[in-house]
Amino acid sequence: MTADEALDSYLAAVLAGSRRDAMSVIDRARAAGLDLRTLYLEVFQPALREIGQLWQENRVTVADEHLATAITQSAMLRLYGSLELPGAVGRTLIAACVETERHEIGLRMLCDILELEGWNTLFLGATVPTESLARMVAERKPAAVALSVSLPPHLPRARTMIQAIREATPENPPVILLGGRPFLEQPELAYALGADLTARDAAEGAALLRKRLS
Amino acid sequence: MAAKPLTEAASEALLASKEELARSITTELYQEMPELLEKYGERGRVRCHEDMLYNLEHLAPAVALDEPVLFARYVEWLRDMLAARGIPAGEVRRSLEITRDRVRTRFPADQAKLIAAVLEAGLNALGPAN
Repeated sequence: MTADEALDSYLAAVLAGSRRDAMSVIDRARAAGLDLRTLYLEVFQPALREIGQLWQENRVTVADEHLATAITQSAMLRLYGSLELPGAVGRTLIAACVETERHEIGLRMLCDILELEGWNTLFLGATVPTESLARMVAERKPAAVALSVSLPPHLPRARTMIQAIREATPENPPVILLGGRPFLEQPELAYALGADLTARDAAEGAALLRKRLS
Repeated sequence: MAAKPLTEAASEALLASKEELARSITTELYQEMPELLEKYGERGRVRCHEDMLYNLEHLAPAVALDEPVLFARYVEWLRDMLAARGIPAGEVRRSLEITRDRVRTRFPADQAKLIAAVLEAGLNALGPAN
Protein backbone atom coordinates (compact mmCIF):
# COMPACT_ATOMS: atom_id res chain seq x y z
CA MET A 1 0.00 0.00 0.00
CA THR A 2 1.44 3.34 -0.96
CA ALA A 3 0.76 6.56 0.93
CA ASP A 4 -1.51 7.72 -1.90
CA GLU A 5 -3.53 4.52 -1.73
CA ALA A 6 -3.78 4.87 2.03
CA LEU A 7 -4.95 8.46 1.60
CA ASP A 8 -7.66 7.49 -0.88
CA SER A 9 -8.92 4.67 1.30
CA TYR A 10 -8.73 6.73 4.49
CA LEU A 11 -10.61 9.62 2.91
CA ALA A 12 -13.32 7.28 1.62
CA ALA A 13 -13.73 5.68 5.05
CA VAL A 14 -13.92 9.00 6.82
CA LEU A 15 -16.41 10.46 4.34
CA ALA A 16 -18.54 7.37 4.82
CA GLY A 17 -18.39 8.09 8.54
CA SER A 18 -16.85 4.73 9.36
CA ARG A 19 -14.34 4.94 12.18
CA ARG A 20 -13.85 1.17 11.99
CA ASP A 21 -12.93 1.24 8.31
CA ALA A 22 -10.69 4.25 8.87
CA MET A 23 -8.77 2.42 11.62
CA SER A 24 -8.51 -0.66 9.42
CA VAL A 25 -6.92 1.41 6.64
CA ILE A 26 -4.37 2.77 9.08
CA ASP A 27 -3.61 -0.72 10.43
CA ARG A 28 -3.02 -1.98 6.89
CA ALA A 29 -0.88 1.02 6.08
CA ARG A 30 1.25 0.37 9.16
CA ALA A 31 1.58 -3.31 8.23
CA ALA A 32 2.71 -2.21 4.77
CA GLY A 33 5.53 -0.26 6.39
CA LEU A 34 4.24 3.33 6.37
CA ASP A 35 5.62 5.08 9.43
CA LEU A 36 3.97 7.64 11.70
CA ARG A 37 5.45 10.66 9.95
CA THR A 38 4.20 9.40 6.59
CA LEU A 39 0.74 8.68 7.94
CA TYR A 40 0.51 12.08 9.58
CA LEU A 41 1.84 14.12 6.66
CA GLU A 42 0.69 12.11 3.65
CA VAL A 43 -2.59 10.68 4.88
CA PHE A 44 -4.17 12.58 7.79
CA GLN A 45 -3.08 16.07 6.85
CA PRO A 46 -4.10 15.94 3.17
CA ALA A 47 -7.32 14.11 4.10
CA LEU A 48 -8.37 16.86 6.51
CA ARG A 49 -7.39 19.59 4.06
CA GLU A 50 -9.42 17.86 1.35
CA ILE A 51 -12.45 17.67 3.63
CA GLY A 52 -12.08 21.35 4.48
CA GLN A 53 -12.06 22.07 0.78
CA LEU A 54 -15.12 19.88 0.20
CA TRP A 55 -16.97 21.81 2.90
CA GLN A 56 -15.96 25.06 1.26
CA GLU A 57 -17.50 23.75 -1.97
CA ASN A 58 -20.65 22.70 -0.10
CA ARG A 59 -20.07 19.06 -0.91
CA VAL A 60 -19.88 17.90 2.70
CA THR A 61 -21.51 19.36 5.82
CA VAL A 62 -20.03 20.82 8.96
CA ALA A 63 -21.04 17.63 10.78
CA ASP A 64 -19.06 15.56 8.26
CA GLU A 65 -16.05 17.72 8.91
CA HIS A 66 -16.35 17.41 12.69
CA LEU A 67 -16.62 13.66 12.31
CA ALA A 68 -13.54 13.49 10.12
CA THR A 69 -11.59 15.48 12.70
CA ALA A 70 -12.77 13.28 15.56
CA ILE A 71 -11.92 10.06 13.69
CA THR A 72 -8.48 11.42 12.87
CA GLN A 73 -7.86 12.43 16.48
CA SER A 74 -8.74 8.85 17.51
CA ALA A 75 -6.44 7.40 14.89
CA MET A 76 -3.57 9.63 15.97
CA LEU A 77 -4.03 8.71 19.62
CA ARG A 78 -4.06 5.03 18.72
CA LEU A 79 -0.89 5.38 16.66
CA TYR A 80 0.85 7.24 19.45
CA GLY A 81 0.03 4.37 21.79
CA SER A 82 1.95 1.99 19.53
CA LEU A 83 5.07 4.12 19.31
CA GLU A 84 8.46 3.17 20.59
CA LEU A 85 9.98 6.41 21.74
CA PRO A 86 13.73 6.93 21.54
CA GLY A 87 15.87 8.08 24.46
CA ALA A 88 15.31 11.61 25.71
CA VAL A 89 17.51 14.31 24.17
CA GLY A 90 16.82 16.77 26.98
CA ARG A 91 14.71 19.26 25.03
CA THR A 92 11.25 20.39 25.96
CA LEU A 93 8.49 21.94 23.88
CA ILE A 94 5.40 23.56 25.33
CA ALA A 95 2.56 23.60 22.82
CA ALA A 96 -0.69 25.56 23.10
CA CYS A 97 -3.58 26.15 20.74
CA VAL A 98 -4.95 29.69 20.85
CA GLU A 99 -8.52 28.67 20.10
CA THR A 100 -10.82 25.64 20.03
CA GLU A 101 -10.03 21.93 20.18
CA ARG A 102 -10.97 21.17 16.62
CA HIS A 103 -7.95 23.04 15.39
CA GLU A 104 -5.41 21.29 17.60
CA ILE A 105 -4.41 18.55 15.20
CA GLY A 106 -1.44 20.28 13.55
CA LEU A 107 0.00 21.03 16.96
CA ARG A 108 -0.49 17.43 18.09
CA MET A 109 1.33 16.25 14.98
CA LEU A 110 4.26 18.52 15.79
CA CYS A 111 4.42 17.18 19.35
CA ASP A 112 4.32 13.53 18.28
CA ILE A 113 6.95 14.04 15.57
CA LEU A 114 9.26 15.77 18.06
CA GLU A 115 8.70 12.99 20.61
CA LEU A 116 9.92 10.55 17.98
CA GLU A 117 13.09 12.63 17.94
CA GLY A 118 13.53 12.39 21.68
CA TRP A 119 11.92 15.67 22.75
CA ASN A 120 9.69 15.95 25.77
CA THR A 121 6.53 17.76 24.73
CA LEU A 122 3.94 19.38 26.97
CA PHE A 123 0.76 19.63 24.95
CA LEU A 124 -1.59 22.04 26.69
CA GLY A 125 -4.36 21.98 24.14
CA ALA A 126 -6.69 24.89 23.66
CA THR A 127 -7.89 27.91 25.64
CA VAL A 128 -5.04 28.07 28.10
CA PRO A 129 -5.17 31.40 29.97
CA THR A 130 -2.29 33.60 28.85
CA GLU A 131 -0.88 34.30 32.33
CA SER A 132 -0.90 30.60 33.18
CA LEU A 133 0.95 29.72 29.98
CA ALA A 134 3.54 32.45 30.55
CA ARG A 135 4.13 31.29 34.12
CA MET A 136 4.57 27.67 33.00
CA VAL A 137 7.08 28.75 30.36
CA ALA A 138 9.00 30.80 32.95
CA GLU A 139 9.10 27.86 35.37
CA ARG A 140 9.89 25.04 32.97
CA LYS A 141 12.20 26.95 30.66
CA PRO A 142 11.47 24.96 27.49
CA ALA A 143 13.77 25.27 24.51
CA ALA A 144 10.75 26.11 22.37
CA VAL A 145 7.10 27.08 22.52
CA ALA A 146 4.71 26.29 19.69
CA LEU A 147 1.43 28.18 19.26
CA SER A 148 -1.30 27.52 16.76
CA VAL A 149 -4.05 29.80 15.42
CA SER A 150 -6.56 28.70 12.80
CA LEU A 151 -8.85 31.68 12.39
CA PRO A 152 -8.16 35.41 12.13
CA PRO A 153 -10.38 36.46 15.07
CA HIS A 154 -7.84 34.79 17.37
CA LEU A 155 -4.72 36.42 15.91
CA PRO A 156 -4.67 39.33 18.40
CA ARG A 157 -4.69 36.80 21.22
CA ALA A 158 -1.66 35.06 19.71
CA ARG A 159 0.18 38.38 19.81
CA THR A 160 -0.75 38.88 23.46
CA MET A 161 0.39 35.37 24.35
CA ILE A 162 3.74 35.86 22.64
CA GLN A 163 4.26 39.19 24.40
CA ALA A 164 3.44 37.58 27.76
CA ILE A 165 5.88 34.73 27.13
CA ARG A 166 8.66 37.16 26.23
CA GLU A 167 8.01 39.31 29.29
CA ALA A 168 8.11 36.20 31.48
CA THR A 169 11.43 34.97 30.05
CA PRO A 170 13.94 37.84 29.92
CA GLU A 171 16.79 35.33 30.23
CA ASN A 172 17.01 32.21 28.07
CA PRO A 173 13.86 32.95 26.11
CA PRO A 174 12.34 30.00 24.24
CA VAL A 175 12.21 29.93 20.47
CA ILE A 176 8.61 30.71 19.56
CA LEU A 177 7.06 28.90 16.61
CA LEU A 178 3.68 30.16 15.42
CA GLY A 179 1.66 28.19 12.89
CA GLY A 180 -1.82 27.86 11.46
CA ARG A 181 -3.89 28.61 8.41
CA PRO A 182 -3.58 32.44 8.36
CA PHE A 183 0.20 32.08 8.01
CA LEU A 184 0.14 29.77 5.01
CA GLU A 185 -0.42 32.68 2.66
CA GLN A 186 1.03 35.38 4.88
CA PRO A 187 4.04 33.97 6.75
CA GLU A 188 5.26 37.51 7.49
CA LEU A 189 2.18 37.90 9.69
CA ALA A 190 3.69 35.44 12.17
CA TYR A 191 6.76 37.64 12.55
CA ALA A 192 4.57 40.75 12.85
CA LEU A 193 2.88 39.03 15.79
CA GLY A 194 6.25 38.50 17.46
CA ALA A 195 7.10 34.89 16.60
CA ASP A 196 10.60 33.70 15.76
CA LEU A 197 9.54 31.01 13.33
CA THR A 198 6.57 29.93 11.28
CA ALA A 199 5.98 26.69 9.39
CA ARG A 200 3.43 25.29 6.96
CA ASP A 201 3.01 22.00 8.76
CA ALA A 202 4.32 19.84 11.58
CA ALA A 203 7.21 18.43 9.52
CA GLU A 204 8.50 21.85 8.57
CA GLY A 205 8.00 23.06 12.15
CA ALA A 206 10.06 20.18 13.54
CA ALA A 207 12.79 20.74 10.93
CA LEU A 208 13.00 24.47 11.70
CA LEU A 209 13.22 23.85 15.43
CA ARG A 210 15.90 21.20 14.93
CA LYS A 211 17.92 23.57 12.77
CA ARG A 212 17.47 26.55 15.08
CA LEU A 213 18.48 24.70 18.20
CA SER A 214 21.39 22.64 16.93
CA MET B 1 0.42 55.74 30.64
CA ALA B 2 0.68 55.24 26.87
CA ALA B 3 -2.51 55.82 24.89
CA LYS B 4 -4.02 52.80 23.24
CA PRO B 5 -3.14 52.65 19.56
CA LEU B 6 -5.95 53.72 17.23
CA THR B 7 -5.98 50.30 15.56
CA GLU B 8 -6.68 48.59 18.88
CA ALA B 9 -9.28 51.15 19.95
CA ALA B 10 -11.12 50.86 16.64
CA SER B 11 -11.04 47.07 16.76
CA GLU B 12 -12.34 46.97 20.33
CA ALA B 13 -15.10 49.46 19.55
CA LEU B 14 -16.15 47.30 16.61
CA LEU B 15 -16.30 44.14 18.70
CA ALA B 16 -18.08 45.86 21.57
CA SER B 17 -20.96 46.86 19.31
CA LYS B 18 -20.97 43.88 16.96
CA GLU B 19 -24.43 42.59 17.94
CA GLU B 20 -26.09 45.92 17.43
CA LEU B 21 -24.19 46.55 14.20
CA ALA B 22 -25.05 43.10 12.82
CA ARG B 23 -28.72 43.69 13.60
CA SER B 24 -28.73 47.11 11.99
CA ILE B 25 -26.92 45.90 8.85
CA THR B 26 -29.29 42.95 8.46
CA THR B 27 -32.33 45.18 8.84
CA GLU B 28 -31.09 47.61 6.23
CA LEU B 29 -30.10 44.81 3.82
CA TYR B 30 -33.57 43.28 4.06
CA GLN B 31 -35.23 46.66 3.69
CA GLU B 32 -33.25 47.29 0.54
CA MET B 33 -33.74 43.78 -0.84
CA PRO B 34 -37.13 42.48 0.35
CA GLU B 35 -36.81 39.56 -2.06
CA LEU B 36 -34.28 38.07 0.37
CA LEU B 37 -37.09 37.17 2.73
CA GLU B 38 -38.84 35.20 0.03
CA LYS B 39 -35.62 33.63 -1.17
CA TYR B 40 -34.20 32.57 2.20
CA GLY B 41 -37.16 32.71 4.58
CA GLU B 42 -37.11 33.79 8.19
CA ARG B 43 -34.31 31.28 8.87
CA GLY B 44 -32.27 33.13 6.25
CA ARG B 45 -32.64 36.36 8.17
CA VAL B 46 -31.26 34.71 11.30
CA ARG B 47 -28.39 33.30 9.25
CA CYS B 48 -27.77 36.76 7.80
CA HIS B 49 -27.38 38.20 11.29
CA GLU B 50 -24.91 35.43 12.16
CA ASP B 51 -23.02 36.04 8.91
CA MET B 52 -22.79 39.76 9.65
CA LEU B 53 -21.38 38.92 13.09
CA TYR B 54 -18.83 36.64 11.46
CA ASN B 55 -17.84 39.44 9.07
CA LEU B 56 -17.30 41.84 11.96
CA GLU B 57 -15.28 39.23 13.89
CA HIS B 58 -12.97 39.00 10.91
CA LEU B 59 -12.93 42.74 10.28
CA ALA B 60 -11.77 43.50 13.82
CA PRO B 61 -8.45 41.60 13.82
CA ALA B 62 -7.57 42.99 10.38
CA VAL B 63 -8.10 46.47 11.86
CA ALA B 64 -6.26 45.65 15.11
CA LEU B 65 -3.22 44.31 13.26
CA ASP B 66 -3.38 46.86 10.44
CA GLU B 67 -3.60 44.02 7.90
CA PRO B 68 -6.26 44.78 5.28
CA VAL B 69 -5.08 41.75 3.28
CA LEU B 70 -6.36 39.51 6.08
CA PHE B 71 -9.87 40.83 5.55
CA ALA B 72 -9.53 40.76 1.76
CA ARG B 73 -8.58 37.11 1.91
CA TYR B 74 -11.53 36.40 4.21
CA VAL B 75 -13.92 38.09 1.77
CA GLU B 76 -12.59 35.97 -1.11
CA TRP B 77 -13.10 32.84 0.96
CA LEU B 78 -16.58 34.02 1.92
CA ARG B 79 -17.56 34.82 -1.66
CA ASP B 80 -16.51 31.36 -2.87
CA MET B 81 -18.11 29.58 0.08
CA LEU B 82 -21.42 31.42 -0.41
CA ALA B 83 -21.35 31.00 -4.19
CA ALA B 84 -21.17 27.23 -3.66
CA ARG B 85 -24.34 27.63 -1.58
CA GLY B 86 -26.20 29.70 -4.16
CA ILE B 87 -25.66 33.09 -2.57
CA PRO B 88 -24.49 35.68 -5.14
CA ALA B 89 -21.53 38.02 -4.62
CA GLY B 90 -23.86 41.02 -5.06
CA GLU B 91 -25.42 40.32 -1.67
CA VAL B 92 -21.98 40.12 -0.07
CA ARG B 93 -21.08 43.40 -1.74
CA ARG B 94 -24.18 45.19 -0.46
CA SER B 95 -23.71 43.87 3.07
CA LEU B 96 -20.12 45.19 3.16
CA GLU B 97 -21.17 48.54 1.69
CA ILE B 98 -23.92 48.91 4.26
CA THR B 99 -21.39 47.97 6.96
CA ARG B 100 -19.12 50.73 5.73
CA ASP B 101 -21.97 53.26 5.82
CA ARG B 102 -22.95 52.23 9.34
CA VAL B 103 -19.35 52.45 10.53
CA ARG B 104 -19.04 55.98 9.17
CA THR B 105 -22.07 57.22 11.10
CA ARG B 106 -21.44 55.27 14.24
CA PHE B 107 -17.77 55.61 15.11
CA PRO B 108 -15.48 58.64 15.68
CA ALA B 109 -13.98 59.85 12.39
CA ASP B 110 -10.45 58.54 12.96
CA GLN B 111 -11.68 55.04 13.87
CA ALA B 112 -14.24 55.04 11.06
CA LYS B 113 -11.59 55.94 8.50
CA LEU B 114 -9.39 53.04 9.57
CA ILE B 115 -12.23 50.53 9.56
CA ALA B 116 -13.60 51.78 6.23
CA ALA B 117 -10.17 51.34 4.62
CA VAL B 118 -10.13 47.67 5.60
CA LEU B 119 -13.71 47.24 4.35
CA GLU B 120 -12.60 48.78 1.06
CA ALA B 121 -9.87 46.15 0.78
CA GLY B 122 -12.58 43.53 1.17
CA LEU B 123 -14.83 45.18 -1.42
CA ASN B 124 -11.95 45.37 -3.88
CA ALA B 125 -11.31 41.68 -3.38
CA LEU B 126 -14.86 40.92 -4.47
CA GLY B 127 -14.02 42.13 -7.93
CA PRO B 128 -15.92 44.52 -10.15
CA ALA B 129 -19.60 44.99 -9.38
CA ASN B 130 -21.81 43.41 -12.01
